[in-house]
Amino acid sequence: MDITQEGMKVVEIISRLSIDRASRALSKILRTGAKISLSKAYIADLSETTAKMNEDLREMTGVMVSFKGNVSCQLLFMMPVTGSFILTDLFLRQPTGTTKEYSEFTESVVQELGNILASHISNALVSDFDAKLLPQPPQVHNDYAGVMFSNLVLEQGMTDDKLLLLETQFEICKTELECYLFLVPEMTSFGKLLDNIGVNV
Amino acid sequence: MNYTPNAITVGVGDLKITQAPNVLKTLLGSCIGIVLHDPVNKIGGLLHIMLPKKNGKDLKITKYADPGLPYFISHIVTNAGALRGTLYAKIFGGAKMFETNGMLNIGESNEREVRRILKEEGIKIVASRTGGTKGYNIAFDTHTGDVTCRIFGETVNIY
Repeated sequence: MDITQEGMKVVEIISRLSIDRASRALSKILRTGAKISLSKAYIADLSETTAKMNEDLREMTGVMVSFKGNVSCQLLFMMPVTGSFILTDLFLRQPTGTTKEYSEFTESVVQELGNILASHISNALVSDFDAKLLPQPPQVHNDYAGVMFSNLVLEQGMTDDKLLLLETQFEICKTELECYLFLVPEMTSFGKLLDNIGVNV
Repeated sequence: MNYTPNAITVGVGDLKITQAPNVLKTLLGSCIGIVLHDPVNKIGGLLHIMLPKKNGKDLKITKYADPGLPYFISHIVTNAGALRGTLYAKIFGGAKMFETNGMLNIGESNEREVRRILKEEGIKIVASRTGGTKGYNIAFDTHTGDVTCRIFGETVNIY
């Protein structure tokens, strides 16, 4: 499925609005300046994009959330394993450097952050665009970055050779933490959402 | 012999065929990576499938074990010049990753289909490492036929 230029502009606007809400929620929960911004939204080839991501062998902690409803979507929030320690310390209001190894605590923090991001993104789509969207229980996983990404796009890859990919940039104040948030809406259902709001897809 | 191999990365649903001294590499989760090697002519290929069978839609066939794997076998012989009689296979991946949308055990289904097709085609699987819950980082050397495999969190093994 292809999306028109006008459609892509609307996708960007919708994405920015929902990611902005998630960004504010993250700032609040971490009690530090956290900004998530949309860096790009584009239609990507499944094989080419995953080949590129397969170059990324960094060891990551990630949380994946599926959304069901009249718009299906997959969200992946991931960071280097050591980055999850920084997030844990921020979340638990302890000095950075306190968490030194991956534990059930870290897993819970990552899972909860995934939940928060997913809820705020879906709330934005529900309230602003009348979508019916329910986040499923988040799943935390540690693995190579490229493997996590491939799993993210698996569902969309079952029905299309292309995917609509939303990439974001993360900045968390006073840390050099690198986080990545990817959203992959299921293109047909997302196209219907755009149709419903009168956008020529 | 001095040579500088090119490393070629294979994405999901993709097929790459090359010859020595090149190296084919990929990362695998629930997908299966199938390596075919002709040790005489040192021609090899890597197919990265994500699903067992094509679902009738007009999509890239190399995403599926069936018909992607028979296509791979035919292509490496007819177009790349590999000798059918010398071909052998190695398979990797098929991990049980995130449970999404009823795709539980997709890794197992992928592996089952790959094994079935290779048996039907009369191609022997000389090495395999599948299953688990973590990703596979594999690199296939078309000169030696070796596949270096590192599962996340484990040490490197050569198959």
